[in-house]
Amino acid sequence: MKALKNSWTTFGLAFLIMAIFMLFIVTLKGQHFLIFSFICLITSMLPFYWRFETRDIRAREIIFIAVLAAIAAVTRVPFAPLPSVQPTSFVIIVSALVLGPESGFIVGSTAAIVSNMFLGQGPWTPWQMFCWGMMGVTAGLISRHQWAQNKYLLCIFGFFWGFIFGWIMNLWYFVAYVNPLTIKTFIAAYVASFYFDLAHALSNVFFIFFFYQSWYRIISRFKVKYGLLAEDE
Amino acid sequence: MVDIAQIKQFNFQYALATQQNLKEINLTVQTGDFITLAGNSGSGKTTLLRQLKKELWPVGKRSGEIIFEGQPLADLSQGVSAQKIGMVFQNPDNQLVMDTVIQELAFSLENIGEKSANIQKRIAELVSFLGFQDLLYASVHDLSGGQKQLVNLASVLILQPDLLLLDEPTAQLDPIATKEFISLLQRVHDELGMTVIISEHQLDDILPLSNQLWLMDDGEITYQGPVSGGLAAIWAQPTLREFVPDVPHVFLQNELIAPADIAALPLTVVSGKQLIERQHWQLTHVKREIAVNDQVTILKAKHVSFQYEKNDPYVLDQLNLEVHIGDWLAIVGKNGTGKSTLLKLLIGLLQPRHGEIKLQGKKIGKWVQAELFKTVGYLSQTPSDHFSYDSVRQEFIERARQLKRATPEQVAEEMLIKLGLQTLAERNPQDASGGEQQLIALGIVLLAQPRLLLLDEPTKGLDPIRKRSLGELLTRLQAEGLTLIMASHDMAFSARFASQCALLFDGTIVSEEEPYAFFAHNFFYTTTINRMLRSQLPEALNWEEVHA
Amino acid sequence: MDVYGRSRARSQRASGLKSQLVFDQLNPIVIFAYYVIAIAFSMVFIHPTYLVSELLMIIAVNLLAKNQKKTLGTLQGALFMMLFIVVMNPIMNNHGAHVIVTFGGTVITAEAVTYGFLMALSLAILMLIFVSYNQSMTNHKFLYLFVRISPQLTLLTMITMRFVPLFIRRFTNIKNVQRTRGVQMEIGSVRARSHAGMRLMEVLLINSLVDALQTADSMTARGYGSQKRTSYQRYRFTQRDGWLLTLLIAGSGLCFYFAKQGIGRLAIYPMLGSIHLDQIGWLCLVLVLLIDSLPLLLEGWEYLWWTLRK
Repeated sequence: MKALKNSWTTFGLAFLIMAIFMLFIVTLKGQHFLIFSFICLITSMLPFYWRFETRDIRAREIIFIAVLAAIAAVTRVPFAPLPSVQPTSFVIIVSALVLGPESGFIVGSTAAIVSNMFLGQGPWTPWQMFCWGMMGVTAGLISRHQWAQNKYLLCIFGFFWGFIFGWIMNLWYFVAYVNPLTIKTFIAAYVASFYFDLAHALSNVFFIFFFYQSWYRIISRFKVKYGLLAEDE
Repeated sequence: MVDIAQIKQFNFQYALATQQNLKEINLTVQTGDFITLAGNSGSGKTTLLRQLKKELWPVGKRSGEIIFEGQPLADLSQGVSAQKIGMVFQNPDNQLVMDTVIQELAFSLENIGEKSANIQKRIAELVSFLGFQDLLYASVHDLSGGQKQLVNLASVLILQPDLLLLDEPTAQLDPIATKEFISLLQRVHDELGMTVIISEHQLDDILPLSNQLWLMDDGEITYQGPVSGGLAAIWAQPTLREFVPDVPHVFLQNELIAPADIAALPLTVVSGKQLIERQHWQLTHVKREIAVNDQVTILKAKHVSFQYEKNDPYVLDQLNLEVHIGDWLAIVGKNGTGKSTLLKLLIGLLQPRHGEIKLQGKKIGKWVQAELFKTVGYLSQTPSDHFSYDSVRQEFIERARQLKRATPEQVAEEMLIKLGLQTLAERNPQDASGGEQQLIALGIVLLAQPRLLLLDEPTKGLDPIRKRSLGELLTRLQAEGLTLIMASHDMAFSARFASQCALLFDGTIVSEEEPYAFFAHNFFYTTTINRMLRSQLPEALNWEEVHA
Repeated sequence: MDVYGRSRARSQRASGLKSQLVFDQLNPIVIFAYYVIAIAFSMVFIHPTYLVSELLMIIAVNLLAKNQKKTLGTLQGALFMMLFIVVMNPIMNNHGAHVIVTFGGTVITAEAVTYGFLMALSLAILMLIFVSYNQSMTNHKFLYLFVRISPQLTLLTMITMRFVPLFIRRFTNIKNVQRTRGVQMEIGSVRARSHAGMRLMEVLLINSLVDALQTADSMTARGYGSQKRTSYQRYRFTQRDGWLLTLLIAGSGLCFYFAKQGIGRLAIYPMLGSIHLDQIGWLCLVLVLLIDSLPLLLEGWEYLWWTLRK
């Protein structure tokens, strides 16, 4: 119960920081948008990193997280020939469902940064870290509810995240390079990326539908094998 | 001499085990000892070694006492234990944590809280001793298996341990890398005076360095003492005889050494040669029967060349090869000469850049893939790559179903019986031991009833007993009409079982002959027995062929 | 196959120690500061003269590092985004005094068109800075920056980084072996291929989790978790690094101060201003370009030193 409270606190803190910066950005009326959105992004991730950093973490736990993050990153390679099919999000969601929000965040953001170490870093890196990290957090948070075992609800969850992911990823250059920011701008941006986001959403649904159960079982089995049960209680 | 470690009346039982896994162990290790721990797979060697490494204690019930440097091991702090007792494991890849060599070395020292300047000094010192400054900045992904294992040893040595534990460190290496590893180990022992305990299957290279041999059987120590006496003890147990290395095997088998003179038992080629000449022993040689193959060609490769990337050097260059039905062809050669690549070309997983490969007279590329993989089976070096279900039985049933066999359950059952896997049927293949995993993978491959079977390093990591039973199994399959092509660096195994041997070097097959002609013509690249006895018996390849 | 020979060539690049460029041998802190400042410049000074000369400079820096191919590739890749910005700005925004054309109720103003072009330029510069960044700021250098602040996270990142190539190699083997038993992602519909690919991934997941238990043991056996870790600092901070960092911070500080006064920023809305730069504007531009050309200057100095000595 304490852990649950803690992760909600972390989540809340992250949200608060984000809100403050958003307010700041709005009052600046579009001046130096990109810089402030970067700062906002990074600071909102800090509470999660701080939690991870100050925790005593055993070899098996760090290895377990590293394996899952590496698998998530590696899935980008074999699926590259298939347009817009990226199981990375699926791997992160399932990992987070087993491991909870904090490790979920770490798996997601590490997968983002490490895969970019091989594919090339860019201004998109922190945004991907944020998106996949938050995907992990939200999946971890819902994992505590009974209904999170329901495959169909998880498919819906994956579907929505497919779009949210695309929308946040659009931000980094729209926010900075198109002026002014009105609802119209956003809608135009989202219409432009609709096909990609839909593909992402549908591939999430596809993978969750067909593979959620076996992957969940495998990761849970190894969680026991690695002796990582104590973390939740 | 001083005792560095003592194990007193020690018992251990794993948390889920029904009986004791280590029984009444009493052992003494003296400073500067070089101890070889022998025993078949599952006899408890790894379990015993881990008892000496407190951080790696498995969960279970332990009684008795382990003393290290005068105090109970249990009282040792984790940090002290990590520094004073080093441990190297079997798989070279799995032990590496970092992606460059220098980071890997630094990792150990960072763990014990060394300051940055000191880390630099200790790395410099160690690298000068081992002489691998060239490797220092290399990425671990570019190292060979042997080099990786050297790095693993180095990253333990850098902590300056008093006691070095090694758990089958050379099982995954080829013979040349094994010799390099062991000679480095010898330097560490001789020049630094480090105490070494090493568990091994392949005792040929390691016994000449050892002053003690421990023999384990079913969780008990059945012998501890000098090496030659230990070999006699192994010899006394008919089930373990395969463990006796080739050189002493010849002498024990032909009763050339009296039990009283056991200390004079030769362990190396040179001492064996000297003894035979001194004693003027005349040995005889009986050739194994190798039928002349007059069957038709099943596979033919003509002028095959291959490169991985556009500007890479050619891995295979103008290679020609012909295999007849019923052959067992062993392709031997050093690691990295392209043996695995050749096998992948032969089964169509890679396409040749030039030349053509014909299977049963039809180009590989023209085959329908499903038909091709039914006709040719492929057994990988890593058997676990074959698995994808939760139990062995299911693994077989699914494969049979996929092959559209009429009664998958029955076909699976037959295969379980054929390979003697009935007891493992309901187990998860991932939980099986290395040797068992290989049999399971072989079963999956054989379900397709292939005409040709390709095997990539099938003896890697197997103990001598398993190796022999694999050889016998494959011989049976060969007798049933299966053609085998095996890539192997195991010369004794190839000499013992194959009907044809081919040497792959510089991208092409340099010689291909039946084993006796093949090895008798070689001077360096031949079996241990051949090197010892060639002046007298130029065609002798294995101990079972030599008689007094 | 000369694996060892290949490894030398590749790891030289990976370690960054043996790079030919002087700039690459600087302490990662200085390198990182350079890129942060260069990126900030490209966003702060929205003025055609500034942006065009910055663009030329960053292309020169990339040419120096022999990045021709990547530079071209990145420019091609960014073209769509740049076009989008050029088109979107005028459509979305009808502020501005100079109306060029009106169609379907949408007013296209010269201001918005100009703004779109400038932004597209700025984006191009940003992308090219990252091309150079990916070359000079190797993964190890990047992690060096964070190891002091966040050692545990850095360790996790390094382990993950070590796993990726290992897993890719493993995956290739699994893919080959499983193909012989009928699981393959080379043929079939996207659905069938995705399904097969995920099955292969599942095998990779299980095999890797089994094997990684030994990695954890190897860490524990070497003292991980026994006490607080230290971190080995491979990169030294030399006197040269100190001077350069001071100059970078002081120089860019001055530039940002100018920027705050509105220098180097073309007035666009509500009405397009003059492109003309005053004296301070030119001075500031020179300063910006001097800082942007740091890798070129260092290399030039090196060249002079060696030729004059002969």
